[in-house]
Amino acid sequence: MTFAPLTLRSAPYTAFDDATFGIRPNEGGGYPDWTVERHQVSRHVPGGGRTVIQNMGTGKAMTEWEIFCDTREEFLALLAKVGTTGTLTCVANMQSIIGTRHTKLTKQYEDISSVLLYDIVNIVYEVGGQVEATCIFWRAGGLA
Amino acid sequence: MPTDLLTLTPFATVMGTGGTRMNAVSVSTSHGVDNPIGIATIEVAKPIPAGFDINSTIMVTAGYEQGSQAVIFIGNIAEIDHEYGDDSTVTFRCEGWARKLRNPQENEVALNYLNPYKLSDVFRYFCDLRDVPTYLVDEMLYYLYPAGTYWYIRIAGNSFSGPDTNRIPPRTPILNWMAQKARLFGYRVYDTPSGMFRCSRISGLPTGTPVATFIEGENIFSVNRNISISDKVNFWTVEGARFTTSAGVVVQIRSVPASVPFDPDLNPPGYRADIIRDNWIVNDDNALGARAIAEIDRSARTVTDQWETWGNPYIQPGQVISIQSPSTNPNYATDNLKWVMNVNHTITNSGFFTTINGWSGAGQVLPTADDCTTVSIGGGSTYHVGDQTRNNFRVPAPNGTTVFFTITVPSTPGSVPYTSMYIRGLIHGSNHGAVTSPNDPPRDLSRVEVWQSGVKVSSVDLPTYFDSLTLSYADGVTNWETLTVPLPGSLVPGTAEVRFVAGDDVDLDLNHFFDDYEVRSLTLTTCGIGYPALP
Repeated sequence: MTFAPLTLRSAPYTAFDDATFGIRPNEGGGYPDWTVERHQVSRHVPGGGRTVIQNMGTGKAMTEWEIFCDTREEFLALLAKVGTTGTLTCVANMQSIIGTRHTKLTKQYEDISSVLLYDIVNIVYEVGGQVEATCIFWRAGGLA
Repeated sequence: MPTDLLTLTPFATVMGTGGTRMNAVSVSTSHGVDNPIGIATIEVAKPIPAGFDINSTIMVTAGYEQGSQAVIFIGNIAEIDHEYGDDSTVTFRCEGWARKLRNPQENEVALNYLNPYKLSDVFRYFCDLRDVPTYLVDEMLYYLYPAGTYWYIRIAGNSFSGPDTNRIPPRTPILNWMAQKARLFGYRVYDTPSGMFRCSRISGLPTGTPVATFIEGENIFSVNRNISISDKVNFWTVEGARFTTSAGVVVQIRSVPASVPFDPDLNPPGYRADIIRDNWIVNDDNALGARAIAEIDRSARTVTDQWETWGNPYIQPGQVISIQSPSTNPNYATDNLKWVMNVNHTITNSGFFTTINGWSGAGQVLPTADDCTTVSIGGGSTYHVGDQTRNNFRVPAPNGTTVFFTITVPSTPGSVPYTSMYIRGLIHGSNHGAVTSPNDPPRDLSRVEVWQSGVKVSSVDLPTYFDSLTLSYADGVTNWETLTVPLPGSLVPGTAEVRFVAGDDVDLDLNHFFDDYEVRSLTLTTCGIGYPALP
């Protein structure tokens, strides 16, 4: 007996603001985390053993999720939000930013505020009406 | 040498009037003792808060979360550059408080022509006049070498030297005038990162405890030492004001060294000459002081160190620091104290760094040459000019109605023309009872004539002095007056003749027709002939 990979559509409330979508896991079955730009500059002091590291702050956090929408209408609602900043709702404990938790239909979710839907790429319309794409999300302040 | 990972978290804040803050993309500041106006270039992301416009006040502080912060710039916005494109930013170019001294005064600024001013007081006056918010002008002193004493540097106060020595002409940029006059005596005027406009001494070898020490292998990312002789001068002449005294003597304020040492760096011929001319140098002390500073700061090789460290917001121009870099200076153990000449800060995504320039003056003050020579005329004896025996005179019997003296006009080394020549001595009784009203008949006055090559080149009437038949002129200098007779500049080197001539007598004596007077202790002084012995 084989089991199909868990699709987080079983969490029907994942969304960006009021635009819902499902999240597909990556090939390893995992859930991709945020990557953070870190501005650190290091310079070695010649003639000695000292290295000076200057932490110039953290830049944006970024993640790319493979998503799907059941209908074109659901996808177009999400597509309309590209370039806007809103709240990303995802399953709790599946990425490093700690959001505001809430429970719906016995499942725990997290709301992560101030997320920019930077772009949607690799859009594919499947036969049968599903739309698959890659969403790129940005957020300032690193993982804070 | 430390072996560690030194982790720092720098930050910078840009604040405008009323405490409004901006997020800066990058900041760079530059302050230097030879660039009086401090500069800051601040790039900020749009949108910028309201209220930032030309002349708005801006303050930049920088430091580390691991330590405290310090102000690295205060001033006003001088230029605004808006950019729209891939990176929409606004760049502010800002200037420090010294900018308030840059614009000229429409009217002249006149200083007192009778009493000299301390130069430091004049600088403070201008800072107050232009509302410089914070300033500190050190007492400007000239230190006597090698006695160790000092005097205040004073300007103006010479009533003979003319308006160009005690009046700043209209439309003279005040800051330029201050910088030039300060530099004459080893001082500089400049903005500092802390926001204070300063005037301080930056000359010769620094003394005292350094405010910071930079050591190769510890806190220096890179260091460069430049050694140059392009500015090296070891034969300095300083010329100040040229004026005529009430006695008619021409005075040229001037200072030259007695001798110039051979310098292999400047060979051939072993020396390099330059001259400083400034009409505001109105006395010999200031001329000597200016020459001493030039010799200290310019007669040795110019050695400048420049090094980079991580951001240090506390360093100010004019401070004394220590830099110890064996790789660039083998004598670092004893030669490490430098004046901070420039401080440049940069804060970008690439980090917070500070670049510093250091320098010290290593020259020596040379002994001063005598610019005047004095020789005796007539052996210093007393001479009675006239035709009457006077028993109350030092020399009762007259030497004649004309007394002749032969002098030698000196030739000057280096073909430097002499600046003045005059006769000094003591006199009494000349031109007694001179013409007092237009109704008096004209008369020949007693006078001094100068002849050369058979031609009379000048004639100067002697002053009128009281002549008594009863007062004694025989003892000491009682009843004698000081005589000063300027000689014409047209005399050429060689022999000349000075004649003391008796004029008409006004006494009702039918047997004597000439004015009687005496002269003694006559000397001939020639000035402007100071020239050093050259290698």
